Amino acid sequence: MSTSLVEAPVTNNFMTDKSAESDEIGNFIKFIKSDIVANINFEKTTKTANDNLSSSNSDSDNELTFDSKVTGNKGLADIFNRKLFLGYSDDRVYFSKTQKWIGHVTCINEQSFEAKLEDLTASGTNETVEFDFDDISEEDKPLIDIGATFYWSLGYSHENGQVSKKSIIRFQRILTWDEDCLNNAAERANRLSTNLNWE
Amino acid sequence: MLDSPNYNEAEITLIGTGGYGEAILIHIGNNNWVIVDSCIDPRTKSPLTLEYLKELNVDVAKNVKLIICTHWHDDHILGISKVLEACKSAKLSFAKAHDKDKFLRFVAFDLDKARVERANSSTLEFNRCLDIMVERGIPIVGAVENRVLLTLNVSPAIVSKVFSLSPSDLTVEKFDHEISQLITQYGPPSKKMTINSPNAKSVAIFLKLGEHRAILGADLEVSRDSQEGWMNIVNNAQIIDRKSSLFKIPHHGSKNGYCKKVWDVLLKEDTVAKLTPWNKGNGLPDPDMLNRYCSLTEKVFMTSAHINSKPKSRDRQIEKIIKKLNYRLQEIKYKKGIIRCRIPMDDANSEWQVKLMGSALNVFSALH
Repeated sequence: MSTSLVEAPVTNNFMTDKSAESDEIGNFIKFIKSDIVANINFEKTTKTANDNLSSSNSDSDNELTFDSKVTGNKGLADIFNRKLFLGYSDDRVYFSKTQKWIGHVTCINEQSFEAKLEDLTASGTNETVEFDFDDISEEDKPLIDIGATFYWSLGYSHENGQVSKKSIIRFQRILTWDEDCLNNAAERANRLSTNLNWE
Repeated sequence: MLDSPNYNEAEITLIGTGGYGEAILIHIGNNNWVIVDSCIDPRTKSPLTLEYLKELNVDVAKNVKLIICTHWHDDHILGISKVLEACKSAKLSFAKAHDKDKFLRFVAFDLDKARVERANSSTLEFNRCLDIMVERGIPIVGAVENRVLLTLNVSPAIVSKVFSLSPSDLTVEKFDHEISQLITQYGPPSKKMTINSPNAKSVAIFLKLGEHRAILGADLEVSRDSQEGWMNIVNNAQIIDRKSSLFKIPHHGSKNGYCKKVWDVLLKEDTVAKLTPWNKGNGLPDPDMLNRYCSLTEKVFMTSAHINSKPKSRDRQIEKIIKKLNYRLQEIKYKKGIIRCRIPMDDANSEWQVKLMGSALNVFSALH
């Protein structure tokens, strides 16, 4: 079996596995895809998977599962990163000890903005934060507006053997409404209008 | 297990959470209850009103007669669909819209947006409530100034009535116009829709509980226009027949919610005043406002003290990064406090018996 390193985590193979362990790995891959991949220049490689990744289904050379003995008791995301990238190349980039939030802007000041944060790493209580505009990339600055949604990730970046503290703030890009969405909303409004009774 | 009120006893219980909203439970007699708004425990997502009624052994499916959603804001609506689901015979009331079709189009479009943007949970809650009401076929009671929402004959001598004091006719008209604009300027799904000054559309409530009266201020503020907000109530509330002895201070005791004429004209001297704080940003109420309330009555109660919050406790290495990069993070602390007030409805000379639970405190005592 031969699989490229970068393709392995970004295909759906991990995510389609039904086990809880694979779901967690799948969520972590989504995390990597959503933010980190967008910001870090992954170098493609054609090296083959090592023993940590093994074929679970002989019918498909591309279908990979995470070796259960790898998971141990430590943070799955951490282990996933280390095991995935170690052994391929020393100049890989990966994150460890990540913390992630989704936020939306609640107030804009002269030099900063405030936001409400929902913790995506450990649910429970929410937080508020104030960012200086300088904390935001030039390409994201025009997206700062009341109600705008962003994702914020913190962690340790491991790059070329160097460890550094990283913070990534990415504003959600503009999605467009398609005709189906608008039709569904209109249909729902009509249905409610017909069926709701008012006193 | 908490003790239940007597059949002839009114109860007005305010539940606060610090930064996760507030809700009120009203016993209107004979084990019949009204729920105003909803808030949740952020760790369990469980509605606190249902937890409270469970402790009183109330059959919510049968005994909750009315649920009022004062306004469509996260801190007043979270968990309300679960509450409605459990309270199977309850009517639902929220601020009236003149043009219902237009209002429903707005709600349906916003639901699509809320599905994209997970933080917009108030829209999801509201839409779930509408679906439940369609399924049950129970009419929605539109709240507007001077309207009776519920009447209960507790005994030949005791009548309980629940009225809405707001929104005013002018506010409802303005809201129709605002919805038209919002639909026209409908933004991208990555942006949360913001309704201007939603607190003006809050449903303030007047209660006739036998011999006693109470006003629940929701988040209603003083408007520049005297036909809206508190001044409209002071000038035009025909249903208020006598002064109230209990007041839920509006909008976490903010300056915008304070109207001196309400205290002069609508409230008794030494009225019981209760409020919930807001632990976000600079927080509410500010100390000046607390002192002002304490100058008006000695019976000021708050569900918890204002907390100067720090970042959440988390992995030490993550804490190090937050500190190193100098981010100004504050946890919105969850502090559950309950202020329970009970009074016999058939005794005009009786006074409210106040019981504080959890983080609730007597503000007047704390300041003096």
